Amino acid sequence: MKKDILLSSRLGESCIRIDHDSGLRICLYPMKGFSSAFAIFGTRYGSVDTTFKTNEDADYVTVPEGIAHYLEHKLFEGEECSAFENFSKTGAYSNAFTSFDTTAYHFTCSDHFGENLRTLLDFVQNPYFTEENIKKEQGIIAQEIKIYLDDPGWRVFFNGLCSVYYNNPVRIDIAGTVESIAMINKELLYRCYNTFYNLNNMTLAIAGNFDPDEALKICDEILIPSKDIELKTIIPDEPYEVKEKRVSQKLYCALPLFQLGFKMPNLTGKECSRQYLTWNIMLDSALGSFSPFYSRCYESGLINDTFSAGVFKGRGFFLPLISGDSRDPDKVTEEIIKELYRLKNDGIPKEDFETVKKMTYGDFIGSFNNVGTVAKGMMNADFNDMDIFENLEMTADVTYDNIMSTLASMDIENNSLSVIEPLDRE
Amino acid sequence: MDNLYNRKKIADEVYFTSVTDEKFKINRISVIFITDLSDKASENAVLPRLLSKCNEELNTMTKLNKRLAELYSANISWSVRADGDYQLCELCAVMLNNRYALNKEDILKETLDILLDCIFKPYLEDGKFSEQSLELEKQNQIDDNDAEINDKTSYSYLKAYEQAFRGEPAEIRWGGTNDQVEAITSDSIMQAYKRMISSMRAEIICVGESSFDGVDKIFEEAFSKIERKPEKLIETAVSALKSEPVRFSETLDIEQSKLVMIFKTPLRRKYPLMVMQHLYGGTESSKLFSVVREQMSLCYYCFSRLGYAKGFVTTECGVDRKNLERSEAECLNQLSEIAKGNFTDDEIRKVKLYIINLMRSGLDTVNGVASKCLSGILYPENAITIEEMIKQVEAVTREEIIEAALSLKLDTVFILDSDKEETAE
Repeated sequence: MKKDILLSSRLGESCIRIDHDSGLRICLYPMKGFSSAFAIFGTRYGSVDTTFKTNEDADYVTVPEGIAHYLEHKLFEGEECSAFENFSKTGAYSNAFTSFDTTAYHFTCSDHFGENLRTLLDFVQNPYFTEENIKKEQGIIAQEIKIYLDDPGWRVFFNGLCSVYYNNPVRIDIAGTVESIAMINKELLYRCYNTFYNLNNMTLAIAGNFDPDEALKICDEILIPSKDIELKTIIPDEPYEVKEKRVSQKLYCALPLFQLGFKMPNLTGKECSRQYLTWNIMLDSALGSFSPFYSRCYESGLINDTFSAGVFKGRGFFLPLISGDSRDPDKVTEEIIKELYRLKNDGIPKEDFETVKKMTYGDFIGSFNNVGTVAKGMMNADFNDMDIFENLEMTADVTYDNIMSTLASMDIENNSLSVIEPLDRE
Repeated sequence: MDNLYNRKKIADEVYFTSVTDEKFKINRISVIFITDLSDKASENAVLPRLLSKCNEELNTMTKLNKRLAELYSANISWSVRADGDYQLCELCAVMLNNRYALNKEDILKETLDILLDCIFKPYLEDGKFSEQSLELEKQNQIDDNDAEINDKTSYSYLKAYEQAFRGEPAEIRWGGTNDQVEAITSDSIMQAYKRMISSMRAEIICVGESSFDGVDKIFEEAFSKIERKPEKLIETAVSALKSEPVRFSETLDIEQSKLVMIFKTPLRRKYPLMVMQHLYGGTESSKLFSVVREQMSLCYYCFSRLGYAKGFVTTECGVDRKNLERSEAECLNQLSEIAKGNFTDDEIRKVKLYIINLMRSGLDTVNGVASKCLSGILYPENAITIEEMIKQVEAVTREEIIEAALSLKLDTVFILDSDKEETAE
């Protein structure tokens, strides 16, 4: 077992990082004064991971879309009782989520920490799938898929991903489709579980009010050592250009919703995190709340408080997105493009860049105020081969030249606009 | 939190409360103006939007946003919400603790000054709010009112809520109506501003690492320049049950139907109602989640909420239209099971632990602490510490839970119906 203490001089705080003999990475962040603890047990497995192989497979296998999410639902169900039931014995709040590149299970408690950690580690390591309980879940997940079909915010996002990418599985809904989930069976679930829920592919992160020694003792008792199976996943090759320039759909909403995406090549590991910070600082400097662009468009009624610009990233995708509500999404797009070209020529004011760096620093420090945010932050940083404090140092290292060369390299024309237009209620 | 109720009066119907907790890395200072929900709701809703955008010194949105960004992403936000029969209009500043300033700036004092200027020295042109800004924020308010439809779950809840409290102040939306927003003029908004700072009760709530020494004096001085003529707030009234339940529906071209049932109760014992509501539909082990969703697979979401001040409990489901009738029947059946006492002592114990966990965890965020303070201020029964609340939860008996369930009577049923034919699963 390897144990490191990570320190942040800026925060005056530290956390513990452990490479456990079982293969699991464990990150612990005791937080003085807090009443609750938040623990999250996650795997690098999300909806994009539909094609994969291990050293035990002769070739790559492709599984139905939505299977990572389906697995998340089913894992809560144990042989004797559900994990929800076990957590409820102590009053803990528990939940789980599946994203494009992560599945994670978590709980929050203000008492009985040890008991809850045992439940978490136990149920995630002990799947119980039967054809019967798998079939039963199809109805619930089909309902979950449908709820999002009515959600304009979700649809503008996914329609946008579909218009940017040709092949990248990020364009597929996390929950899959009613048709794809009908193909899921017990064997496929076990196959995916045994591949991705290997402790070498997972992280446990805990923050808040808990005793690290107690947590480690429980890990020693419960974790079942995993052999590294050299997991490989494939994100299909993607043409450089966006798939479609503009897509639209009609749904019930007040104002049109828009999302403008600028297609970029994929990035991985620390470089992805560094670029993520640089791009966000550049976009905030160029289009953020005190930019001339924002003021002009807000005051003319073209955009409102919903406007935002940032990067959507994960394993296998890196996509700068600008979104919000607007009466005229095409006009907003025109204004954004005009402004980005202007700033390419004239340069972003240096003073604005320095201000955005201070903002980023403030946001980062402020995020260490919540046990859930800290635990999730440790897990996400680990999934990007970083530690939770590195982002702060990376922010300090971003230079004006970095953001200007990022803007200079931006292919402004390689964009795609997704719009949801209001459906008439009469 | 023990000194929570040592709040002090700093002007006529203006109160200052502060909670210092060194675990936080930020400070939150909010000023909440409280009034009755009325036909002035739209003016009251547009006003905080205007006030939060600029002030006399930082007289454009760009200047104000830039100054806040320079203060390490300090933030001044507005919120307007309905709570029982009240309308709460809030301006809130959140800022990093001074010890994280890289150049020794006094982040708290500088952000506080901006907040005070926004409230007491708004940017005016010839003694009035800028016409252009007013028109813009009126439009934003109308868009927000219309945007209720974007989220079908909350839209359905609001439709049922409005019907359940018809004829009471609570039926009024936080932003009023679009007609009222359109009728706002530069004169009427100026009157609304004067009414807000001189007549509405004001609660200043500070939470964070700071001791907030001297902040009370700063607010006291600011309010001392205002001639206060406080209006008397009407206490939120428990809603009377309709003689017959009202059923209504709306059909839209959507994929999933929604069902909302509102039950009313005359019972004025908060903790038995709270435990009963969590047992019914407030946790993952509740009757609604474990039976209606998990065992019967009838709907994707299925939960209940308690509105103690107005005396109601809801049932809310997202459901395939073919399962609407069965879902409604089963939700009613589960409530009836509780009323018959068909639940175990173990279920009671789990629900109580869950509520206690929520109560304690709530004190781990500045928003949670501020919300606890405000709740105690608005409703006297909440003016106790978390530990006292926990004792009350622990003391709830099986008989009281049954009594709470028996006290619920169906008042309103709303269905947001999908016009889609059933699809294969």
